Amino acid sequence: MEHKGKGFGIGSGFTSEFLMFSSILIAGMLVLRTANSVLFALGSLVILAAILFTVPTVFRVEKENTDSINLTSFYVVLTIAVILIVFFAGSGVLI
Amino acid sequence: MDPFQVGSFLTAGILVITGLWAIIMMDNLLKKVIGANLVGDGVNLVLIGIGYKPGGLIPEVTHHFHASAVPSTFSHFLAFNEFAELASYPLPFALVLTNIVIGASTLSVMLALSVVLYHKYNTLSVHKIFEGMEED
Amino acid sequence: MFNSTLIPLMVVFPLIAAILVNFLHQKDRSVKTIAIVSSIVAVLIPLMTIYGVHLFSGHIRTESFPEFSKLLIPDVYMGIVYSYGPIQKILLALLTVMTVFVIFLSINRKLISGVYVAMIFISLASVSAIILADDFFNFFVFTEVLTVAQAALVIAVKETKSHKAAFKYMIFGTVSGGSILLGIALLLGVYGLLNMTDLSNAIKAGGALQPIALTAVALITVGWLYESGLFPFHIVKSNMYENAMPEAAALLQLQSKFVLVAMSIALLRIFSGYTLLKSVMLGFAIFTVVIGSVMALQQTDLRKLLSFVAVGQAGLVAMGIGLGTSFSISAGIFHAINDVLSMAILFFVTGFILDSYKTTKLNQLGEGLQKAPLIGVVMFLATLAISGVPPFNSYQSEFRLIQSAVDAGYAELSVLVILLSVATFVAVIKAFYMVFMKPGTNIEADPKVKGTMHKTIIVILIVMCLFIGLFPNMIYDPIYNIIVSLGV
Repeated sequence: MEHKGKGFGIGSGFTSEFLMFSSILIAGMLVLRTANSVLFALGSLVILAAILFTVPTVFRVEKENTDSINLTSFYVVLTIAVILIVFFAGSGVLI
Repeated sequence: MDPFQVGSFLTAGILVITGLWAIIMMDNLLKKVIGANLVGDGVNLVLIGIGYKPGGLIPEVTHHFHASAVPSTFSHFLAFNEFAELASYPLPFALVLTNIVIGASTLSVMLALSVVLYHKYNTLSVHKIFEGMEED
Repeated sequence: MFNSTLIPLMVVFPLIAAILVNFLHQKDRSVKTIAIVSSIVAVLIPLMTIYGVHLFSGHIRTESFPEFSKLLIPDVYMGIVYSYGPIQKILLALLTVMTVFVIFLSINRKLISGVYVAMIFISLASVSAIILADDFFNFFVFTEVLTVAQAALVIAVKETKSHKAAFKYMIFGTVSGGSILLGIALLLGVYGLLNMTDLSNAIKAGGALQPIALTAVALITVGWLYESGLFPFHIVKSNMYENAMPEAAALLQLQSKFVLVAMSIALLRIFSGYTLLKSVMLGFAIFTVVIGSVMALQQTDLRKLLSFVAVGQAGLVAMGIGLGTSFSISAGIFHAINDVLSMAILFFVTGFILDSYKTTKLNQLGEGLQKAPLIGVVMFLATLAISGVPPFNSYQSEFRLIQSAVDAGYAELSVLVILLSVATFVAVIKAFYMVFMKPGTNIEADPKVKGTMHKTIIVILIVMCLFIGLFPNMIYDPIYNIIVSLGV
């Protein structure tokens, strides 16, 4: 971690931070775009404000992506559940 | 569906869920490996359950039909539609046999890795092996 | 039906070579000879084979007796089918050429253990079978074989970190393999078919998917996530790339991307017209790209950085495929082909750095341009190549990805792709600076390591990148025509 304080570490930290919250903003816009335009505009501003209040996000992301077997198992089970729910809900079988 | 088939599917479901639970929740390395194997066993049972036919014949020609056979005229083979009506579905057996072999090879590799990790760390606890400080 | 003998030879020949070198383990000269000869022959087989279909044991397409069997289609394939077309030819040609390079580099590193080379050949055979197979169960068997072979390649490093990485890989491999097989079993139970062409016809004829078939789709999608190295399996995959020898890591990332392409095409063919599947694929792909690039920017070790870049680029390929139009799917496949070339160059450069400096930690390295100027220049060109800078190949594929995202109606995704190319460039150029240009290092390079083999191979690869970048339609047009004709 000691080299993260120097120029290269700071530059990449800023890049990854900017990338992180622009992708959250874009993902939010993609989802809200299907709703009406007022919700779209307001929702985007809310997301932008929320992200700007919670910087830095990149260190939390880094902690969530360590190669620990328990963390990966948790995300795997979450993924299986989410995929099953999305497929069943999207096809209209579950009401 | 036949109650026997329903029972085997339910057992398979219990096996898969038990295996997943063991992989996620157990702290012992070997219990995780056993859980991974249980998932494969459950899937094998689903495959065999699909091929079940109550009162069905084993889908190969047996001695019963050889009794009055004249091999040169192949008269010991049943006519096609009788055999098709009576025999159980033969395809899942082939799939399960292949999967058992695959499961055995992956199990052996995982067990070998467990032995090596045990010799290095002198413990089977996943928490100590995987969550300890990485010696960089 | 034309029954080519050369098509199964693409799978069988590497397996025979694997058995031979395994048998001759510890007889180093025989292993070396057989490895080199077999890998060169393995390159020639896909180039000599003409397009067609191979029906195992000659089982032709027969009538299915729908009134007895209750199958939904009038005729079915009775046996295992392998099909060989232009996409398979391009993928297999690239795969075999890369395997030759990796075998030469492994022999150069004195890693001529018969078992190690056997595992390389087994992984080659598995990926060839995955690309060729039209039978779903055969496809699954070879994904499991590939898992074991890839784990073996990582275990061969003989460090504790690699053992732990291989263990995690195998545990999740068993879970996802069980998931795929359960999906296949449910599809077999509902439709009674295992052949992918027949399944796609039966599902089209059967109307809306029943709940059991939906469960099968979900389970097979989970297996697809593992085989491709997308979220949440990106951690185990990047762990594998990081802990393997760099040449083996180049091969592993190539195999993962080609399995991603093959399995996506299979999934989209079978469940054609099911838009929710494409949306799910797109969602996970976007997640993976973002997390891969963000994590790559944070790394201080070269191998870890490159492994996260590889994972992120796999997400970009999956994004193209998940967008769903013929244009985007062919752009995604084209990007997979381009990306494996540039990533391979970067991994081979890492191999050279590991040989010379015995470490890949960025803060300890530096002043590499004085020791190896050619390798530094090629790494810089590969950085440009992987970030989508013209005239290199990734520019052509990323341009097509961006255009297809706009055409599909997702203009925001094109912004995301551009941001991600910039992020990838920042990450890799940071690595290049810290290895080759940063002043003041305290590590001496090993003077005995000349790296001639490395230099030759990476120059060949960068010339290939330049060539594909200048003449993209040679590779892109056949892919586009096949995807349009598949009608996914």
